[in-house]
Amino acid sequence: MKKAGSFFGSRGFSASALTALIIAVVVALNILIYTLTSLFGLYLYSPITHDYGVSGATDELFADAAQKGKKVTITFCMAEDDLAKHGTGAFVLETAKAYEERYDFIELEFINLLTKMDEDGNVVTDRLEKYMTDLRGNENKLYTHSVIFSSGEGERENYRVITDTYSTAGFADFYTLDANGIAYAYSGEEVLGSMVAWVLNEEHKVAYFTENHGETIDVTFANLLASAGYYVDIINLRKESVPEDAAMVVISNPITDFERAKKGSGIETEIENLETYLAKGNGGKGGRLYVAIDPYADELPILEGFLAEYGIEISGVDGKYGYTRDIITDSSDSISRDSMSFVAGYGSGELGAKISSNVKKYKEGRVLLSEVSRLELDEALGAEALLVSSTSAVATNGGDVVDSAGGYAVAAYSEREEEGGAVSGVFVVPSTLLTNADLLVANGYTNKEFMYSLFEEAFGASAGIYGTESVIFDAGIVENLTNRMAIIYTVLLLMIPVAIATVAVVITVRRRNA
Amino acid sequence: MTAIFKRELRSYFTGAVGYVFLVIYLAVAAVIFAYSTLFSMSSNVTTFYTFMLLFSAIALPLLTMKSFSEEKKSKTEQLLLTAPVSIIAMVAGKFLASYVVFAGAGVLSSLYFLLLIPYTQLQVGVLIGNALALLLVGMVFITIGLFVSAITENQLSAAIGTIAVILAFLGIGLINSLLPSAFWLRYVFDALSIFTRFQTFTAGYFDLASLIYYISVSAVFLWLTVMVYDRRRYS
Repeated sequence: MKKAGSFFGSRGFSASALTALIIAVVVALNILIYTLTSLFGLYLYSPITHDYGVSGATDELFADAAQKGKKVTITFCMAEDDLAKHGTGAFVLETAKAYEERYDFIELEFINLLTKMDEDGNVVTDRLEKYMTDLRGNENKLYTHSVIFSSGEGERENYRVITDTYSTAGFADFYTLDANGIAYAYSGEEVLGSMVAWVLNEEHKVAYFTENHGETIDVTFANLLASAGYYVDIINLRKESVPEDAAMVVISNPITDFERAKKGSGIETEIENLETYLAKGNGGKGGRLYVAIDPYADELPILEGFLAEYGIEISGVDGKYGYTRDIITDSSDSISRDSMSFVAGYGSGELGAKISSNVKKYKEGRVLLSEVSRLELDEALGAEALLVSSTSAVATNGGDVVDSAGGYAVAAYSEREEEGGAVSGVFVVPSTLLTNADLLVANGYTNKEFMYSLFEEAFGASAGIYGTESVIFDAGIVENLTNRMAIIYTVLLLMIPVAIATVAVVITVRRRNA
Repeated sequence: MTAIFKRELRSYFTGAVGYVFLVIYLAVAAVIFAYSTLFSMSSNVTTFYTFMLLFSAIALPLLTMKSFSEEKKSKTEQLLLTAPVSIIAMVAGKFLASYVVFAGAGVLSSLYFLLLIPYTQLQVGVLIGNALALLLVGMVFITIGLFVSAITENQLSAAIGTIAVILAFLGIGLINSLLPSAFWLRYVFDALSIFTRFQTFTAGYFDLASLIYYISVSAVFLWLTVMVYDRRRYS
């Protein structure tokens, strides 16, 4: 009988040597193959592909244009070949081409901004000089990444220029950028479509943002207004009254209060200018006011007192640390762990139902709100809730639950009849995040559609582009999954091992008894 | 080999080991899935599979610890060694049985991501890459576990030894952070690191080199196990 040798030496030295050789070969082979694949990129990779075409969401909107023989030209300020290789412009070109292919009345044009010539060698200096001023006389910047939309000719030409002046890559207006300036989503179909719609419209409304109270003019919101057919401008109500061309005044996240003169003094300050506009603006039909208030801002007694005249008050209390507003949290319908981001339903009043119906024609889903206070409404003064939290929501103040009834109004609209038959309207949302960039591009929520429908039904704007979907580059984002559903799924998944354990116990018991 | 495979597979479920492994594996997978995706609002599969890789480093030794050491302890080893079946078939049968139990749990836990389909655009290629990577890494862990079980008599020693060897393989890549950046040894450690190879798959790349790595390392440990029993049979 052979003696047991060394660990691998049952049959002598040869087995050990063979084993050592095998290990050495495997190690060397792996290092070699690793080197080769690293050097020559020998990988199989399935890149994620996105569709940058058009979905047909604008078919109904553009049907009229085609029938009336209108023409729209989308002009790019670089050569087509260069644009096709441009990191951010290539997708815009792809979408523009899809529009050109789908609609006969849209054509693309490529001009060289340096030589000021088009593809056919024609000089376009005069046109470019014209485009450097917008239709209201404000300056336009023209760069190689500018996109010009035009319709009509000569004096009747309607045009709009999109120029990204805040990113280094260009075409940023077609994308949503995250906090680090990295493209998070692409919304080319909507931006191109809404600009085509813009130049097809004869009339363009103006939305004026107020200033001097720490307001933030949210670029995303401004772009949304542009997509809905508005020009955006700024107004200082201390110095001037609201211009006649104002279709809307926007008070966006003020941190200091507005001024109001004593009644009967005859002095016209900010609130008086607003009142005059609301009573007589929009060509005598009555003005429109959009107010977004940060729930964490200090009390604004004059502005909020003015809103209370329309039956809309923001709930809050004077506490130990000064005035704080109620904050709504909803642990069941929330999509965040802190329960402060939750989905809200549409109000059941006349306007809420209309908005809901408009949105549902194109998309299912609800509006996502984050960090929002609650509104107390006086229906007798014409106030109507447009967005309502679920019944599982609670109102907190200073960390304490102050109300658990749920079903809170988190956005409201109020109309009032003015002298002469005008009807003024005020929309209030006690949050800064209704028009947050991430939410507007999210395909699972209807924030954008809600805003378009609000503008259309309450503010008399032309319809925005409903039903387009943004291309979200970060495909890892989960939308619409509430905490409640996450808990249900977790419990269901845990039922699987429980079921296996139960089966095991049953089988074991039966075996013992057999 | 088929008979050994069937016997081993049955033994996992006539005793408690198979059920216990499945219950613990799937329960832990459910909790990790919940926290890495459902409650994080993310469908990032990489986080889930990275945690499952680390958990498998501890769970799989518990599955393989009885493979050979139990035979020695219960004195049934002689039956195996004198059975008219090759050592290779015996080792392969035991390996396949353990692997089937693990792969079943791995595939089932991967199906959890189907819950996210209504809420996000699942990157199927990345999901399959990660799942495949975990199955390949599991294969390596099981073969390590079989080898360590073959050279020990005690199940607990087998489990601890296996965990130690696995952690050594996982830790190879971490040593790189202590080495100078241009040092050639970093390259060698990267090439031999289970974790570095795993990360290529998790990024959505089907890396043939890593596939060869996992298969060859598994083959080496299976070969070592065969050599151990070959020595015992003839001694």
